[in-house]
Amino acid sequence: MTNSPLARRFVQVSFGPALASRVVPMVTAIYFAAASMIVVIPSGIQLFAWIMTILTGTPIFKTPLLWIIGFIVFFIIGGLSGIMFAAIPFDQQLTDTYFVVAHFHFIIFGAAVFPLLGGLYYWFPKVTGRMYSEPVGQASFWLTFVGSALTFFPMHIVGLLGMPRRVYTYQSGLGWDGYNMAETIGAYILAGGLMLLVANLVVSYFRGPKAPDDPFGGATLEWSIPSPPPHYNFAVIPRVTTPYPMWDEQDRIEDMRKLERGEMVLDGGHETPATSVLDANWDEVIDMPSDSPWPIVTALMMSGVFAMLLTGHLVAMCVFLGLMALAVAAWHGAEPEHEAAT
Amino acid sequence: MSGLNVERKRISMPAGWWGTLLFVATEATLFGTLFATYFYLRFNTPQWPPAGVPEPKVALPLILTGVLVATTIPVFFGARAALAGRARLAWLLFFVALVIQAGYFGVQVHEFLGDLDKFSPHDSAYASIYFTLLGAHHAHVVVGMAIEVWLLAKLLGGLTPYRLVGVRVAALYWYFVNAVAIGVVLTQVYPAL
Repeated sequence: MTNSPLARRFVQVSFGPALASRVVPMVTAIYFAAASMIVVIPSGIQLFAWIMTILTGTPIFKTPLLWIIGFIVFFIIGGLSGIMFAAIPFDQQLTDTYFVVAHFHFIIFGAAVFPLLGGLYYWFPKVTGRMYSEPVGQASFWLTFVGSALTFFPMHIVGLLGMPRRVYTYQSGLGWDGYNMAETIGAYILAGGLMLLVANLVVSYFRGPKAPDDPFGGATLEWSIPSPPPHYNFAVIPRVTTPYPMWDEQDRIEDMRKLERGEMVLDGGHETPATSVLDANWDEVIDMPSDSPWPIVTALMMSGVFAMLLTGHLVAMCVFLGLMALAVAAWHGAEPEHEAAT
Repeated sequence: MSGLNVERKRISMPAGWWGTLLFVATEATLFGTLFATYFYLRFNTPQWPPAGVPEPKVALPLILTGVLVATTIPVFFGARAALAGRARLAWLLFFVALVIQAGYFGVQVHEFLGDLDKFSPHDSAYASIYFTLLGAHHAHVVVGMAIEVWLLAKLLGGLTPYRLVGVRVAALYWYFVNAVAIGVVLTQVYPAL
């Protein structure tokens, strides 16, 4: 965490249960305790949903799934240390110690960053058209996993031993030295894992073997098109009826028929379909705005107007206002020939 | 074939109308915060308006707002006429609305400048929020009139589907400005009630 006031405010708002109890009145502490308790229920449901999704599926134990499993492990650890804060005496004892730091790093890094990195690996072949190196990818996962566990887990213990957060040095002989040394070593391993990940992706981007359309046997429709996706990726808006559209052969055959009939090709301009909210049935066709530089020019000029207002340059503000009006006029001066009926 | 299929599916408001609705929602939030600021300051201030600042007029702002809100009628029927394809009638009704709104705006600017002579936004929290709230509303009236001028110029060339979107957008924007005007004027005259 940085020490800027803004970041600290953000942390206090979003991690209020863990961080704020020392300075707040009892009513607020009770509120935070109740919030910490209640949040367990949806988190638990999510967790079981993820685990059951993997168990009832056909897991492909490649790099992306490893990150997801790592995420689940860290989320359980971070979640269990989070629920402890619902006990107000415990919270007051441990607020502003390294226990809190351990808790939210398991959440922030383990539970938030791990799936992001897994997603990076998962869609890297689709986005770039190149395969990453699987052994190096797994190595980068294990280094990062072991590194983060070694970095963040001992923080629980030094927190319980009373080490406050936001200290850069301390007396020796308090019993914290060994744990902090382990954390330092873990941090280097963690950084090494992340650098290996970056190196893997950068090298693969230039030297990797060509990626197949569907390297993981994926269930969703991005895997039905070439890697990287061409322009005009779907010639016809696909029919989707289940969460696993790639495996619904009847729907894919129906798509081919639609293409032959020229149905739902939406070639009459810049069009996109809109669907009903609950059943995702095709509801209407929306005309999207066409490519134009004027919206961004207008936005920039408007930013200029407000910047000049803030700094008190009224003449310059009027200039920006005039330029903005000209940009709006240019934007709407030419009428598109093909436009939505009303 | 595909053209027919697609055409049949156009049942909702155009995207420009939805965009304007989101824009209006943002603007409504702005005015919501201004109202909240006004009453937050009011309930943290023992004397409102503070000593030396005259109480706001009551009758004139209420009448002016009534006049402005009344322009909802020509705007509404102007939009209906345009959607029915009657370009000349629509032009006329929007022109009537614009003339009334311009008159309203002229008197309001005169009042605003008169208030500025009596007290300055730098004087007190009351003066600051008073001028901010009224100024924000007047700015919205200016934008609404600019949209109408543009629309009137366009409608001279007849109706197209694109211009019908413009008609809907202008009408929606004015419904919003007129609704906000009621909140603004009630807040403005509130200390004198």
